[in-house]
Amino acid sequence: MSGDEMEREIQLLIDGDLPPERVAALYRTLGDDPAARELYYDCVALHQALGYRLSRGSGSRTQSTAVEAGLHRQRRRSVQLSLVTAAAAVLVAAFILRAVMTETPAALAHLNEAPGTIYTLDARGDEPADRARLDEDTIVTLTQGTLEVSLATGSRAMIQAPARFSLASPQDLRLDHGSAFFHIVPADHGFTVTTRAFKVTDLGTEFGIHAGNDANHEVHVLKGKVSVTTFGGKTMSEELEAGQARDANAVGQLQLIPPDPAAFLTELPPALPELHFGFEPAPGSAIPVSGTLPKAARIKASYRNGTGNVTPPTLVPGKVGSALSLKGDGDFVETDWQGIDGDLPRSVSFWTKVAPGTPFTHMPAVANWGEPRGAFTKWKVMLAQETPDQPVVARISLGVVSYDGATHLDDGQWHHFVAVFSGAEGLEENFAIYIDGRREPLKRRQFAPIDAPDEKDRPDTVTVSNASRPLLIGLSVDPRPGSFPGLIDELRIHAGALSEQAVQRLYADGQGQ
Amino acid sequence: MPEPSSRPDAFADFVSLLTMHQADLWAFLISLMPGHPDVGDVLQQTNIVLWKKQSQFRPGSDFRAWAFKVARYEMLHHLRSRRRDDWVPMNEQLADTIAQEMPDRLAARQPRLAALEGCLAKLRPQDRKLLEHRYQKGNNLESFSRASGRSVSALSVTLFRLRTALRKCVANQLQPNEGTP
Repeated sequence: MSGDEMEREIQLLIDGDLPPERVAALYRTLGDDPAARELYYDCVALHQALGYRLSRGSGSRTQSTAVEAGLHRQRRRSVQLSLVTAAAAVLVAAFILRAVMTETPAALAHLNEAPGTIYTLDARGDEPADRARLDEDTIVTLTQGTLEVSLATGSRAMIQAPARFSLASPQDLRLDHGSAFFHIVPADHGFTVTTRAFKVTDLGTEFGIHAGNDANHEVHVLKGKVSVTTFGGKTMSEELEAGQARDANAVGQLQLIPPDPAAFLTELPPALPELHFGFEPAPGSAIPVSGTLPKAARIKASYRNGTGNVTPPTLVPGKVGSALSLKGDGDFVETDWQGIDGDLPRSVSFWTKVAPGTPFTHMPAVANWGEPRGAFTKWKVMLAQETPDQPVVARISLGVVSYDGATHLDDGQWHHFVAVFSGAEGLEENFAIYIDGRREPLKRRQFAPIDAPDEKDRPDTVTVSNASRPLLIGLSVDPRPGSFPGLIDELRIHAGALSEQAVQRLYADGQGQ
Repeated sequence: MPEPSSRPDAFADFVSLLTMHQADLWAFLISLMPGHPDVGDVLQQTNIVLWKKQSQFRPGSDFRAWAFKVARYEMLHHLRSRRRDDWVPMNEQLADTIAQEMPDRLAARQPRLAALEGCLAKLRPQDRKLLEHRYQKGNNLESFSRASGRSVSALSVTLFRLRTALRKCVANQLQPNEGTP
């Protein structure tokens, strides 16, 4: 490793941006090489000095930083640092006493986030400085990813986006909506979780709750016991034990549903929750689905050939292991997963290879779901070719609006394709396409008039309607002849917007880097 | 509230020592938990422990060694109680080596800060703005990318070059001035 490369790795390590496998390698080098450690110490010292010199007191998270900033102001007034003088000591003592030793009320809980998680804290209208701290009545809005809420007692909750919640007291969590797992220790016996549909009281247990935006909320008991009381027109109470699950409907009735313990994350995932299709060989005609999205293990996927029969898929050597080979004669992979709804952030990533000269004027999807007829009601990631004499490019199609990339993809080479909708307000661009780790310039196309042409485009993906189609791979949800003619590998549906760094990591992983 | 030392002079001395070592403790913790977001929390906890245990500190003994020892203990305690799946801890042997070597490397801090001040003054305004953005808590390159219209990867490369240039500049400034031939 050259000196520059070493320094880059060290800087990435200090910034927390070095992938775990490269961290381990760098630690080995630091352990073996005194010169590498010398460089490391210099980089750490510079990092700290820059933090000290350039951080603003008002934006600092820690009181110690405020101490530093205060001392720094003091130092600037002196030619020489002279903290041992009586006057300075008095100033510093006052500063320390105020800034370091002021008693801070203990937080009700602490928040740990999985990579890629986006959330806001609203404490009576203010964004608290310490984003890892959860105080009473601070409302947490989780847009994407997963948060772990850790109570001082050892109890914890694992909450998945989209979600909104708050702690009304150390023993009372309010879950407006979201999917959450709870592990409650004996010291917190009686801990309650209140949704708009019911109140669940812990009786020594582990349980999960799905609280949707509608009135139907579910509780699943994984271990021990809970009591549940509904709030609908009718109040019902019931004690539930491990292996039992109930759904509370709009009128307050509790209905028996199958328990689904696998639907809840019990630990922070290493990345955004995702569905993963590796297209590796498996017995029978089923296509394995894995991932950290709730219910990922229950999703069924199978290959249908051009005549509509379920058969084993054609797998060929791929970018990682094997890849799915589609003929384009109407063959595709069908699933029973509804897809990501509304305007929630999402990303789709995969490797693809198509033979030069293959026509794509029939606009086949690589992955898509939703309702085909509305202006913004589907989410279709595809390779597009407007006319036979034009190049094949990457496209995200919402319905009557689409966004095209620029790179020509019909060159017989593997390409890594990532489509992102961020959902964030205030961004210049809500959509992104990355090809081989690089962000593409996007060209917006509109194929019909729309009601509110001045508003920014957002998907309004409809996943629950008679016309909605679940996730289809290779076949368009809108009726079009044929299907995708080429190879697809390592298809992932991510429940959130991937960052540029995450895209580059996925690309590097596929390249074996 | 902890009991400060009964002697006003000893109290002021202790506060001075604690204050003087803040930056070094901070750098020491960064070196042992690089990239971990809780360095500030561990430093804060270290300060509180040092304050509470000030009666155990004998004036004239090695405050620096004691403070680094407490900091390392608090770091280990924090990492055990707040495990993160996305952060790779060092093995004990490397941590021991760094804990032994790093304090000496931090000894000449004031000249370094003065040198850094001079090096920062030589930067172009847009480069300084990028550094300021990066080192204000809560600001990442993505928000700067949105504001500046430059890609995150381009900003990341610029940041790398800036920090490397600053490190070399500081090292050059600290070289003994041998005069010109």
